[in-house]
Amino acid sequence: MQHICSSFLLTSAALLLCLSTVDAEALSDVFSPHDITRIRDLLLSTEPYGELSTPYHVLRGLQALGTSSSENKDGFKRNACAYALSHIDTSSDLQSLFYISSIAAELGSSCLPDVIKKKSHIQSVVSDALETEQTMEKLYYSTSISTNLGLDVNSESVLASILTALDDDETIQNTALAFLTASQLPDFDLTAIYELVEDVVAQADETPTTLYYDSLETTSNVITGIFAMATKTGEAPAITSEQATKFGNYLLTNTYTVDVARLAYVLAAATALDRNQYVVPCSLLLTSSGYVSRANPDIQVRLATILGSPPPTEFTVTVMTVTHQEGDETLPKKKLKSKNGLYSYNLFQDVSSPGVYTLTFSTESVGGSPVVKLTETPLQVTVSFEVTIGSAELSLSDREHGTTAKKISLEYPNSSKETLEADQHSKVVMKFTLIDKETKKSALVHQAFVRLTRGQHEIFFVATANKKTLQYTFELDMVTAAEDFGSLSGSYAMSLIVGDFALENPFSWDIGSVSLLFAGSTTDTGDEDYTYRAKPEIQHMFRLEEKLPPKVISSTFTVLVLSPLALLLVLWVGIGFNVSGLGTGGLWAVMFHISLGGIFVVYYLFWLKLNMFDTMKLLALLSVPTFLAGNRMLKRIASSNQSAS
Amino acid sequence: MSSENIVSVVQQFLQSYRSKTPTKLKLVDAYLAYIMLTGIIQFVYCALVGTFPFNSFLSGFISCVGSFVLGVCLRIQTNPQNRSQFLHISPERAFADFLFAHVVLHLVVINFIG
Repeated sequence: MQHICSSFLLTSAALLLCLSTVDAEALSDVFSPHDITRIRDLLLSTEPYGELSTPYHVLRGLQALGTSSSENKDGFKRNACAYALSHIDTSSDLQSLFYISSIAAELGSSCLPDVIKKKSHIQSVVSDALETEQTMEKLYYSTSISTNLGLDVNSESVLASILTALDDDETIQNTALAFLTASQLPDFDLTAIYELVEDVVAQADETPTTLYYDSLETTSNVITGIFAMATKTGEAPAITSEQATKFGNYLLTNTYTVDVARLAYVLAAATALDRNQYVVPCSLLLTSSGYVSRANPDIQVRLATILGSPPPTEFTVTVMTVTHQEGDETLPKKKLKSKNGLYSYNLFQDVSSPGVYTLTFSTESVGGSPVVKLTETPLQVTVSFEVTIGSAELSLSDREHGTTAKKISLEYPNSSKETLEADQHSKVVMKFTLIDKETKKSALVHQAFVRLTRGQHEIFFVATANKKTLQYTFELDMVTAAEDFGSLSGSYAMSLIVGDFALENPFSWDIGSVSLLFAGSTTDTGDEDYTYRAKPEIQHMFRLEEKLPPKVISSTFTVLVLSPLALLLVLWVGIGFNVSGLGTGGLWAVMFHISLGGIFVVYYLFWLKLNMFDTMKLLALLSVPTFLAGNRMLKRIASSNQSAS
Repeated sequence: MSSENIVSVVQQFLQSYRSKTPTKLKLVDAYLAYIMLTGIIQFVYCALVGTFPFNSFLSGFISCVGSFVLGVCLRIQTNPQNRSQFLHISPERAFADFLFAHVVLHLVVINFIG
């Protein structure tokens, strides 16, 4: 039964592998040599260690990067070993011992015997831990410790425990640990676990370019677990090349970190993708510059696996399509020649006009190879060009009749000796063509400007191209352009500036000078002074006094306004004015008159200097006696009047 | 003929004014005339010379108008002929009102005069 099952799996895996080669994309990037140096330096400079996990991750990362010798490696190894040994006696948990044993196993003979000496302590910790509850994590740690220290593992019971633990809690992380644990078991049928691969991969989160789980650790463990199982069982894993590539892309997004644990996870998984026998994602890299010209017509590409190494077997690389930015497509379908793993292609065999081209490539392995075959992998290349001035002439024409008054032929790159003199009735016209140096055909560029300068003044005009004749024209109408120049007449230096992103020789051509005379021209102020300096101080200006009438008039009217008072007194005296009533009022009357007078004195003071609040306070004070006295006085007068009548 | 008429009418008016109007009312009338004249002179100044300073002119003129109105009120209330209409207002009470109104009016005037 088991045999049928495994053969079925084999067939389906083979089928999947076949399918996977149909439509595979390249990795978005690979580790560059610079990346690898940076990460290695970072890992080697992580001392001193704060916790046991750090040397474990550092060693794991360095192992993944390959054991290329480093000068301080011996010292580094000694330090890591000493650090691990110093922690053995105080460690009573599985995880710490797992780190210690892994470090020792990694360092090998220089460290391992010292750890093995403490075997009894380690074994007692392990058996204590496994007695209570057998979680997947504990199984992984204990099995790893046994493997690292070369102790016997009871495969059958471990496998049973793994299956029980997975039944209890079948998370992605636990399944990944199950792969990693099971792959350490000596010869045993692992089909029951290995068939979970397809399931686990299917549960990954997906973006158009990446595939991942909830953490980098889980993703890394899944990838390393799957390929460890594949190596162990010798069967292709149920993972397509597209899925492997997407896992690779996810790992590549995590390379810019200084966290050694994360780096170790990225590197361990990248190594699993890079060095397995079944599915190795790869990328096509442009090794030449992205610009080609006739002088330098070749582009070079190479294949690289995720860690940047060349693929282990020979490949053929075919250029499938070459597409211009504006949509023109050619289908060369050329197989490229290989030299030391570099594939060259002369782009000028198939294109002539400059611009940005998108090339697509396909790869095919010569003989069987685990490296993913690429189809339609795009790369962008810019075809650059050189231009020169074909013909150029500068002329002066009448702005109303269009008759040409003067014409100067220009010769690139020389400056013109003659000077045009333009006034408000004329127009300066410049016509020129640009030709491709190689093909001698007229060409257009993105930027063609005419620059006119006089001292600090600089005015740019755009030379416009006729799309049909491919001739550039620049016109300077002396009336409409006067504003741009601030009507500043004089001699201007003229130059032509030509540029384009694909142009190899952008240039500025000093044409000569033109003399411009504008209508209503302002006097030549010479160079304007742009120096910043303090502005004149602004003095505050108070409001101007209104014009007052002459003093005589004012005084006259003052007297006039007061004169009726005299009239009043005269009239009152005539009528029979007396103060006999004062007697009737008595003391109250005196008091009343004094306090009323006081109120008017307060008013006078209010006019001169008091404010409203002080005035109101004084008024409130005065109003009481005034009211009382007035009331008494008038009562008396009233009663005396009544008694009189 | 008509001028003679007018003259005789005016003469009659003046005579009856002199004989029939109480002295107190005459005093008030003189006061009213004084106020009116002052106001007119201020207005003439304003018309001839200009309104600047306008707030001073306004306060002066308002003082005249206000005083005149108050004077007229005093005269109406103290006129013995209007006695029937102001039974409960004695002349003294009217005078007290007159003074109180003046105090308030001139507080405003002084505030405004600037």
